[in-house]
Amino acid sequence: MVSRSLLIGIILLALVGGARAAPPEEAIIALEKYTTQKGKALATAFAAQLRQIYDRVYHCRPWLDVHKGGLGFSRPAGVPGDDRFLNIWVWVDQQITPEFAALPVARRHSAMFSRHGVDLLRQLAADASIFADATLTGYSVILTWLKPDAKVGTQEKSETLGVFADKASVKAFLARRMSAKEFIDAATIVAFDGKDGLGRIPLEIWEDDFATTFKLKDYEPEKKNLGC
Amino acid sequence: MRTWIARALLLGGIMVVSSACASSDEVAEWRKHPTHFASGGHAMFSFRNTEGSPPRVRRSDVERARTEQWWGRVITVSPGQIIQE
Repeated sequence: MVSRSLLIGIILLALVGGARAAPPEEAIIALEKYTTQKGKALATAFAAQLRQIYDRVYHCRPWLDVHKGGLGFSRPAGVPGDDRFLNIWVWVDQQITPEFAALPVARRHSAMFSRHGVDLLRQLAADASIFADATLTGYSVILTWLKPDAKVGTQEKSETLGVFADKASVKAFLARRMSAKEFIDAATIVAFDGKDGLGRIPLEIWEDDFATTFKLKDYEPEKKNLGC
Repeated sequence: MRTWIARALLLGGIMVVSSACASSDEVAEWRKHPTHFASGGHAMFSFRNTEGSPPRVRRSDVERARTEQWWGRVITVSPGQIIQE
């Protein structure tokens, strides 16, 4: 009943992002931007793979926009040392439905990660040569989307979730050898409301096959060899 | 006194259960709607229509629709708050 009444509400269409996806030369972190040799070496060795990941997301997941400087071998902010994660940061272009808006904050983050984060982790972890590189610590996915009903003056506000996990945990989770709860417990999770950090939120992950089953009507990838 | 406490506990329990159900319902409802993203751009996509052939939507059409719909800067986290290069 609650859900039905929510459905009757006005559906707002909100297009998220800095107008458009960053082109690959802006989305993939430039070599000169790396602050340590380790990051630069990884980015140099796997430049082709980074471009392939970009292409697959760009063409096969048209509802996602890779953030400027959002793809590369970065490390979590504020963490000492130089642990490198293959990271992707995307804006999720989404329809703000009343039922999504009604979810508590942690459930919105969980829904987004279940739908898009797991799929992106799978794409990052697909390359065996990257996984095998001893200097890589793990994988990270950062999702940003429009926060429902959160306009400040004339400005919209976003929500952001970042999940950083070591590569063995990611592989085990994707292969279902590790439960979602174990994976979450092992991961570093950061969340933001606009610019404000929310700390570690109680994330949940559930099955959601949207990314692999949804077909945008009449959509045709420009690159045919990506296996979308 | 004991009756009052029992009633309070019962009421509290009902509130917890009902709020949990509503939340679960909302998640379930959201999950039923796979078009939960701005595919609403459908109507705005510049279909490359040629007579007798089905329309085709390319990523560049998605991009153009987004650009047309862009509503300004968003209050969002800066890269330095979340990653280091």
